[in-house]
Amino acid sequence: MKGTYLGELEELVLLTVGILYPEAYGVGVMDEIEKQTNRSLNISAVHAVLTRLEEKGFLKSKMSEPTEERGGRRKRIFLLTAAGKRALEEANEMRNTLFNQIPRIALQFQHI
Amino acid sequence: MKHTPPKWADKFLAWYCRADLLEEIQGDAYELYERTAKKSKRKADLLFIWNVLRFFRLRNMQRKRTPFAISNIGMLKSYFRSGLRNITRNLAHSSINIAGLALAIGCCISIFLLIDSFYDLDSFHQKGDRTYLAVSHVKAGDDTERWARSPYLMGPALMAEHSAVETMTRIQKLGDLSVRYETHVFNETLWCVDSTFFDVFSYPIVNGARQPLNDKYSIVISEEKAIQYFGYDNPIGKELSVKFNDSQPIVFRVSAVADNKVNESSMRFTFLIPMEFWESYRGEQYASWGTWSRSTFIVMKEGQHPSVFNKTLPAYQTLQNAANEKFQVREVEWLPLAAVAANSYDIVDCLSWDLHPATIIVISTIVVFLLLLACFNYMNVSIASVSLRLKEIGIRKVIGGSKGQVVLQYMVENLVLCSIALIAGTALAYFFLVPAFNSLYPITVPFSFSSTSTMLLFFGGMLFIIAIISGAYPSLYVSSFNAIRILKGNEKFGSKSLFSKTMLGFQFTISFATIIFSLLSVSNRDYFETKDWGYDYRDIAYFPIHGKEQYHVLSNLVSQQKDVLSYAGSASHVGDEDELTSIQSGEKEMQATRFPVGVAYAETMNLRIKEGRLFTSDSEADARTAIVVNEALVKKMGWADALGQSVSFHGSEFEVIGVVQDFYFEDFDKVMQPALMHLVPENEFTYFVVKSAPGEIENVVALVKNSWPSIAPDDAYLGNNQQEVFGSFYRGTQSDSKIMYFISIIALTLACMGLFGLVSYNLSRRLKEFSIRKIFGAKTFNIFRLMSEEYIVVVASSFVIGSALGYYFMAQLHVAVYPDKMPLPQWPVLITLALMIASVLITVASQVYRVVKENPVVTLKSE
Repeated sequence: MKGTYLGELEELVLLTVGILYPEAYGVGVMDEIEKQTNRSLNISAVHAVLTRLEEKGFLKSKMSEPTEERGGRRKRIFLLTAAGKRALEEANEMRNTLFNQIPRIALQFQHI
Repeated sequence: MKHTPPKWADKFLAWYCRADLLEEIQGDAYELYERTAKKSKRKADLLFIWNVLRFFRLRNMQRKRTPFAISNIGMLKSYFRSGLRNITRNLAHSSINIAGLALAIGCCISIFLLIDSFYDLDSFHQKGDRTYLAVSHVKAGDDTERWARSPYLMGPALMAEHSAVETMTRIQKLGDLSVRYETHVFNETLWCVDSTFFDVFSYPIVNGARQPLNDKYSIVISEEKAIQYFGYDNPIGKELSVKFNDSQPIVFRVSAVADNKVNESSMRFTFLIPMEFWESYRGEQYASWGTWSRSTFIVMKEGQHPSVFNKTLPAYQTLQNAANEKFQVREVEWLPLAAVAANSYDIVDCLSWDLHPATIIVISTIVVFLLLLACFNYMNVSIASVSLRLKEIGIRKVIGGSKGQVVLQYMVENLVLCSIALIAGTALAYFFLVPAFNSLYPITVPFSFSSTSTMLLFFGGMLFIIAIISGAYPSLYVSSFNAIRILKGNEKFGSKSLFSKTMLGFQFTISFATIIFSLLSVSNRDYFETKDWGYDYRDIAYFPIHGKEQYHVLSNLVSQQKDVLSYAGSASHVGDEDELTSIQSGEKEMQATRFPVGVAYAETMNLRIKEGRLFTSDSEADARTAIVVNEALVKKMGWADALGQSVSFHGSEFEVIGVVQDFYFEDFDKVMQPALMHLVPENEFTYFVVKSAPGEIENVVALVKNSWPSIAPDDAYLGNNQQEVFGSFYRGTQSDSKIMYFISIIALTLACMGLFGLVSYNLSRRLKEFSIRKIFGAKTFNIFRLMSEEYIVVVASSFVIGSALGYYFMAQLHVAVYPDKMPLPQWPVLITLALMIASVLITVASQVYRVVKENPVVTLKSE
């Protein structure tokens, strides 16, 4: 289905937003991805993906309360929506299904 | 220690970023910056800049920065309304603005229509894009002249040899023929054309045969001629008799009436007869390569170009140049029909009417200047009027109006005013200017554009340009005010500024220059009117005649009149007809204008004898070998003693017996050319000239006119007073000076409107000051002085500059156009000075009157 298709980076960001609940915002997501996967992203790329996911309906957002840091600027906090959750589950399930169909023998490299 | 990222990058981010995204984006950028800055400030700066640049993406950018965004459409409506309200509130000033702009726009429209219709001429011919006029490049001295003439045999030869030619037509012009229907006789010009004429040109045939030129004695007439000769009777089949010089009249039968498209065609035929007739009229000699066709038009087949003739043409040129040694043709140019009118000023004997490009440039410059004047005017007044709207602008800005919005507001208001002016200007052009223009010049400019797109482009472009020129500066100026300063009342602005004074000065300079220029051109005309023609033209009349019978009848008629002092026959006439001839004397060879005349001609014409004598009737030698020359000829020949010198032309030897003072036989803008007179026998006479006792010439003319039907029933009466020979020249200068008067009046009006606007706004601003002065006993004069002294300097300096410019341009024009040095009188300056003083006084006084009348208490109490 067009529109609900989840790209690789999108899936990664979506997962990270879930992990960081309820404190997921631009820089946080970027840091978490770097920590977990060693992928170094530019903040603008993270923003672009977050906005795109929000447009697709997988994320919703609200502004946080202002804090001392960031010069008193608020953060935009992202949360998973039900659609986002289902998209993650589907992606996960699809991977598992596909993975399980690999014949055992194909994974036994040492006997070649 | 707290670090801050590079300011410019931060500002850049704030500038491009969407307002709703700015906070989070900026926040993230700052967070990253602060984190990195703990380690290295330099690295943090670079990272920040990098991030800002990476955020510079389309989806992050402002979409609502331009005022035309959706949310502002509602405001546009409000701007429109406030524009209208402002117009109605200051009705007097708005009408002045609108009137000024409308006047200038009207002039622009009229001139544009003229130029547009001129360049669009001949575009109605269906085969126009494939039709070409053969233009011969003829050697003339060291130069090459472009001639509309080409060999008579060339057209058919090309058609026979090249299959690329679809059709062609030639045109021969026969002028000065008497055409008679029953008792109506008029002098007309006939065109002899090939029968393919209507295949080449798309003149619609209104009535009659589709192929009207197949019969040798058929004639096609234009609609207006049909009405002139036959009224509302059906002209088809009617008989017209045409008299070719001395021969018996020949009867032609009207075969068709055609619309000659006066307003759309550069060529105007009135009568067409078949070329077949012309060939028999000319006799066998027409079939020579030395014979010219007045014009040859060739229509190529689709996709073909006349360059295919390149191989054939040199052979024709050899034939032609051998047959016609006097005029050597160098090459043939194929001029597309659409370009004929635009080029005809440069083509000798072209049948199209011409408009010199210089004229187009001059009039366009003038109207553009007028438009600029009106725009400056408006600009000035609207800047001045800001004084009354300062608070409004301040409040708009305080409640969140951006600079862009204030600019937009002013531009929209301006557009409203300009649109009204455009409509008014169009109406002015339609009802007044274009008709006036048409009445001044012998052409009719229809009120229509060549195409809808031209019209839309013209009006759209005009509105845009006027709105931008007149609105840009005021709106930018107004929007740059600081809101707080305005509301505190600290903002100084306006009419004291150097800018608006410079503008006013510029306006007045231009208008004084035009006034001086036009007055000088009028004085110029007066100069020509009182100019000595080289002979006394009063009490002389001339009558074109055919042959010696008419000469004898006329002689008998006038010789019985006691008021007739003298009369003569002639084969040419000073100011009406002459001929350029090559003459030779010793080694010298040159061109001179030749007048073949009767014995008493020079005396009847009041030519002034300088040396020697005039012709005498009893001398055999005079009739064959005597010539009388003018001073210009003597000078050019370099003779110390002219009398007795021998001159040869037309293969005969002549002896100079007298020298007369130079006399004008061409327009006054030409240098005096060499001329000579010699005697011809009576049977060659084509003119009859009469001199009467002072003041009696009208009686003689009336007598001849009344007896004309019995003298020459087949010829049109063409008699005239001698002073009419330069009539068209005078009427031309008269039209020109009328236009100049008109333009200078407009220029002065516009300048006064500008002054009026400035003064009245200035006065509104200083009303309280003047009221206080009045209370303390200031006299009206003091107030008047206070009001006017600001402007007197401006107007006086523009007077000096403007007058100097006017004189300079006129002097330049004289040098360029007229050969003799003309006086540049002083009186135009005095008149302009008077006009200046009057206009400034009246303008200022009308405003000061307001102050004087007003009760100071009322003014001071208000607010």
